[in-house]
Amino acid sequence: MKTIFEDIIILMLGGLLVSLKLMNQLSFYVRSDYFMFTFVAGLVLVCVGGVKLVWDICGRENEHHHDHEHASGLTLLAAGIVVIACFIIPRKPLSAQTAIRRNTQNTFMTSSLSNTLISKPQGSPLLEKADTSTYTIADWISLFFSDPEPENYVGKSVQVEGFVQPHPDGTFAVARFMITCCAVDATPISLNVDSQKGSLKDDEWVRVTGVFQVKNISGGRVLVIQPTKTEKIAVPANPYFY
Amino acid sequence: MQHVVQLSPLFSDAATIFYAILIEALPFIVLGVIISSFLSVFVKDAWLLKLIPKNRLFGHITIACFGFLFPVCECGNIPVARRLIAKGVPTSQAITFLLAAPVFNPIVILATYTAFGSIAPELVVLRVVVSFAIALIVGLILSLIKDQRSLLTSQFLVLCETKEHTAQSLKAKLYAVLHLMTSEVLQVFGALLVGSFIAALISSFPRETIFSYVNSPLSAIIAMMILAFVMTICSTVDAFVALGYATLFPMSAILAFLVFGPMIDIRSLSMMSTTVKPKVLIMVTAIVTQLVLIASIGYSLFGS
Repeated sequence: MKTIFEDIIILMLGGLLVSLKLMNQLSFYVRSDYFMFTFVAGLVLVCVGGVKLVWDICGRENEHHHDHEHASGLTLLAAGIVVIACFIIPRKPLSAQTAIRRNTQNTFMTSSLSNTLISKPQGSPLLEKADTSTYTIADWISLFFSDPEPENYVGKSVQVEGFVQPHPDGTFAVARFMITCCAVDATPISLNVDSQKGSLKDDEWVRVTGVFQVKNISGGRVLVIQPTKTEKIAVPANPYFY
Repeated sequence: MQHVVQLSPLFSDAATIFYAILIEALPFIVLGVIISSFLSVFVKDAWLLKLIPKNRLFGHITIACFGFLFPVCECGNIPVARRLIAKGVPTSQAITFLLAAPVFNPIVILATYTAFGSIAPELVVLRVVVSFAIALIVGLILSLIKDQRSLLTSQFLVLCETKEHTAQSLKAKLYAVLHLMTSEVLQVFGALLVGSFIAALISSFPRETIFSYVNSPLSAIIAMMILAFVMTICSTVDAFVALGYATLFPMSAILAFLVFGPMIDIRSLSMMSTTVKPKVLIMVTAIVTQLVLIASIGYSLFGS
């Protein structure tokens, strides 16, 4: 009987991986390089579990039944619960709450953008490009690392997509996560938006269009997007940057 | 899809992280289990044992190089190591394999070189050499224990006692492979659940708490070791994660992260616990921690 349970759980485990791939939800958990690998592993598990289940039910007399090792009952129960739970609970990418908890970049954005930093008067060649509206949040953040002088960004046009991360003062930031391998190592990055959150909900995905401005907030100069348009969009196929 | 259950964001994020660890690890477990099941049923014990020299030192050196034969990461290595022990390889050598293989294999060396080859080439060499040396030292120390089987858990000993699959018919062999695959995947997966659960809980805490006390090379080394232990990321990608900390911390702390993480973290300890007794885990952790500390402090004093 235990053998049958083992087969069913393996079958469900494989089914879970396959269904995550087919429903395009693997991107909530791991980076796209792993999609095929995960899918194939799922198929292998489905085949192993399926074939063995049929074998165990139909051809019991064929098998040599000396004492094979089995997973413990507790392991089976835990594995079963975990797999079934993943089918029941809503699957979502990481939320703004985790972005706020893991935030290290916003401190960078405000404190190190102060006057004490040596500014690069020339600016980065990427900044000189006429149309900067194709840059993603990740592009902007890496630009800030090479050129942290906020004045160099004033007036540049921005169009970025991300989720709404609320600020305590009622404004919000448009945010994304960067991942190296999976959601465990997700690091949030965000751009501040100089606008009240209004009817936008936390974690809602938006496309913010506008230009950069510098604002004085409690003595520090902070780069913010002066939005001209904020539209709601669907969760993108790859919610994380790699 | 309509969902009956609604979760608060923090709980939902913990679930996302929990399943992310499982989903990321599962394909590697499956790969490892495929290798180990075929190893078990189709490769003769005697043939495999002949491959490993009798001499204690050379035996451990040979097995430390097995990572090049089975280039899978930590999750895939556990089933392979279990199979090696069941085939008669001493427990100390299996531990050496478990500690060395996650770093001493072509994929991980290439990934480390990609990440650090241009900014700190010596780090790539140091990671490989130090990991290899530590794996060897830990194995040699454990090999001093006479009764190698006394290191194993009782459940795992039951498996070891079952004889080699002498059944000759291909059908019987195929069934044996299928059976091994299901039970091994479930056992390793079950252990992984515990590790992922703890890792998901911990990673919901703000990360700054780890870093708030960092003010010297030594505290940076310790902080990065704690981070490696907690993050439990796969050795094939940890070099890229470490790259993110290369600007914050001295290279000695990055070395500690890259050597300690693949050997000892929440996930690998919980998976090893399926096979060896807790006291062995404590011993291995203690020895590895000290050796990593010595190596990284040495690097911070004499290197860079």
